Amino acid sequence: MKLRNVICWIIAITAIAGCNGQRRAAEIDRLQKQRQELEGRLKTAKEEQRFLAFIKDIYATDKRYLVLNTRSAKGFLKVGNRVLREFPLLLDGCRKPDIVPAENADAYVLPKGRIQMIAKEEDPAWYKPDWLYEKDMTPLPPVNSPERLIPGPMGAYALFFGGGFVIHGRPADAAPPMVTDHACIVLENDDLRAVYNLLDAGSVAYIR
Amino acid sequence: MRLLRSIGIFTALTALLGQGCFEDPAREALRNEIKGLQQSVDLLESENRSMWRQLQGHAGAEPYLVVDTEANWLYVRRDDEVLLKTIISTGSGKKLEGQGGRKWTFTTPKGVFTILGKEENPIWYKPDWAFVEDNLPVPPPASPKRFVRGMLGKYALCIGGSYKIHGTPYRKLLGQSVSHGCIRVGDEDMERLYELVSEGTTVYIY
Repeated sequence: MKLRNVICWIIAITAIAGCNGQRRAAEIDRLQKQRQELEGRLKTAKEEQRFLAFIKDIYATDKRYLVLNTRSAKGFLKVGNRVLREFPLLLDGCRKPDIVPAENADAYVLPKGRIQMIAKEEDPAWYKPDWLYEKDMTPLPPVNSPERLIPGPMGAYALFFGGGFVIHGRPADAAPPMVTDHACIVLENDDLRAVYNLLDAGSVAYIR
Repeated sequence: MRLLRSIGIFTALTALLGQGCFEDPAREALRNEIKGLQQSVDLLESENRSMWRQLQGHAGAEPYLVVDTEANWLYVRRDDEVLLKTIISTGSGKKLEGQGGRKWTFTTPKGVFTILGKEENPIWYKPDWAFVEDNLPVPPPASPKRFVRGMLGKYALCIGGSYKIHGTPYRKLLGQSVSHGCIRVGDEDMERLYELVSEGTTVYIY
């Protein structure tokens, strides 16, 4: 009688324990899955955060600036320490005329240091100055005459800076470098477009 | 009387076992870990959500590409929605030196770019470094040796310079930074990517 009782007890307890063991295993399984899912979400959120930090920098318009290194012929569009774009400077993209009148000589010296953008223009026209007409011995059109505005030689965009400095592109048909009347740096078309889109009047450039 | 006692003990035992009175530390540790993870995830996700709100209108209603060169992921997104996420290979950062002091560094450029063109069955114009790397003489620019089929998969997207987003025969290397600067995408996802993207689509690379 007693033995039977003991056996009964053992069976009952084992059954309950076994049942619990199964439940425990199932729960651990569930918990592990939950952990896995959370780890995945954490990873995604971290990746997203990196992207958001990047894009926030990009859209911090007032914090973007240019660094133009004329010695290494490289330009950088930056936000803080982050380089958004690195591009070559085509320093010989413009041709200085053979004879420059003394009073215009200054206009060809690249400014150094900090300068600010005054305006930007799409499809800029080039305003041909008096002395270039004189040099070519061609009749001088009246001031503000549309004849003076020559479309094309500056490429698709121009960024005008203080001190007469201009960043612009090249004519589409890869014609020889334009004869210039200003200090300028020429960029490849896709670099120029990026710079044009990301900078505005007031943006700063550092030239060294 | 004895029956009553048995029932009593039985109920007590069941209750004890069922209630987890013999709770094991492993399960407890797991629960704690989950709790901690949940908190981090909630915090990060809410931070991200508020960032997205700040960026509203900036990211754009048109699809755009995001390239994470650190984790080697490429996303096609529209606002905060992910339309495609795929594993890629980006620049290895390795350096190569050729004759006459010519130097190359194989990195994927970072910044904001635009899709400038789409190509089907692109032909790879083998640049000088590809010959230098294999210790071969560099042929003239128009040499037929320069034009190689099949290396860029079925589709390519140009982002400027000689950088492209293209398919690849080196499927097994996806996820690693092994390219010469181009962005390699698996062929199937490249096909979807090609359909989703048009000329003028913005590409953010970081």
